[in-house]
Amino acid sequence: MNNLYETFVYLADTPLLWLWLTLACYQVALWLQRLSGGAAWANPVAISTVILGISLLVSGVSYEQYFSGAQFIHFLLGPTIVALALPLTVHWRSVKRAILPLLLSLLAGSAISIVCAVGLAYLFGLDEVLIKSLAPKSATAPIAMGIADSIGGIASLAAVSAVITGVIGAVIATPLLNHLQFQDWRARGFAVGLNCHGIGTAHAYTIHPIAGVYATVGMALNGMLTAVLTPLIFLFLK
Amino acid sequence: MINALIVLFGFQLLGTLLERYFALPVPGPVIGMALLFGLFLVRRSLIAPMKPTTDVLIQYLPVLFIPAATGIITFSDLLSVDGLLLVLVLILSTLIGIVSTAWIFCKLARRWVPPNEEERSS
Repeated sequence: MNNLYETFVYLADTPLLWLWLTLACYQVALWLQRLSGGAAWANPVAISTVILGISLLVSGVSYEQYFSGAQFIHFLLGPTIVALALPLTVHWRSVKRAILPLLLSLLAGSAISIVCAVGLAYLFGLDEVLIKSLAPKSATAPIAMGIADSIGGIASLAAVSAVITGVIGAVIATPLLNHLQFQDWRARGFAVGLNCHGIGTAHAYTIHPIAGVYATVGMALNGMLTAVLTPLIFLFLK
Repeated sequence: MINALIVLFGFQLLGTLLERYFALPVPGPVIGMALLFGLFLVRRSLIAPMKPTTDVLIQYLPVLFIPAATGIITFSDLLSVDGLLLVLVLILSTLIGIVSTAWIFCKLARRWVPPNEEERSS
C-alpha cells in the first residue's frame, strides 16, 4: 500500500481530481447561496474561487497543475459564448429598438470605466506599470491582456485585474442596482456586461433573461471599444 | 445535440480562424457569436432545434468561468499594500462604472424608448 501523500501526488497529476473539485466547489457554493437565502455576497463564482484558491495554496499545488484538469471545464466557455447568439437573436427586436441609448451609454460607460480606474490608481500612488495593467480591466481577460501588453503594462496582471473586476461585479451589481432602484432590466444587464465582461454576463443571466441579453451586448461591444479607447486615453494623458 | 455542437464549435472555429488570420483584438468565440447571430437573423428556423443545447450551456455559464477565475492565485502580491490598493481601485471603479452606465442608459431610454412590460422589473 502506498502512503497517503504519494496517492495524493498521483491523483494531483490526473485531470480527474481538478475537474471533480471544480464542480464540487460550485455545488457547495450553490448550496451556501441557498442557505444564505440568496445573499449577494454568496455569489457562487466568488465562493468557488475562494475555496479552490485556498485549497491550492494550502496543498502547494500550482495553478498550472490545477488548470491541466480544470481546462476541460474552461474549454466549454468557447461554444457557450457562441451560444449567446441565440438569446440575442430572440430578443433582437428589443435590442434594436434601444440601439441609440445603448451606443451612447456604451461610449460614456467605457470611457468612465477606464478613466475612473486610471484616475483612482494614480491618486493612490500606484506604479505606472500597474496603472497600465489595470486600465483595460472591463474588457474580457484575453482582450485586456492584449491591450495592457500594447501600452506597456503586464499581461498577466491585466488578466488578474479583469477577473477580479468580473467577480466584484457579480457580487455587488444586484444589491447596488436594487438599492438605487434601477428597474430597467436593459440598463442593469448592459451596465454589468459592459463593466464586468463574461463573469458579469453569467451573473446577469442568473438574474433575468433580458438582463443577460443586454449584458452580452455590453460585453461584446465594450471589449472592442476598450481596445480602441485605452491607448487613446494614455496618449491623451501624456 | 450533436448537430447543435457542430454548429457551435464550427462557429467558434471560424471565429478563431478570423481572429488569428486578421490579428483581430476580439476573441474568436465573440466573433463566432456575432457570425452565428447573423445566420440566425436570416435563418430563424435554426433557432428552435438549437435551443435545448444552448439553454443548458448558458445555464452553466458561471461554472465555466471558475477555472479562469482561480488564476487569481498566480497574483502572489495580492496581499501586499499595492495589491490591496489595486483591489480597492477595482472595487471603486467597477461601482462607479456600473452605476454611471445604468444611469446614463436610463436617462436616454426614458426619453426615447421607455421599457415595456417585459423589460421592467416590478
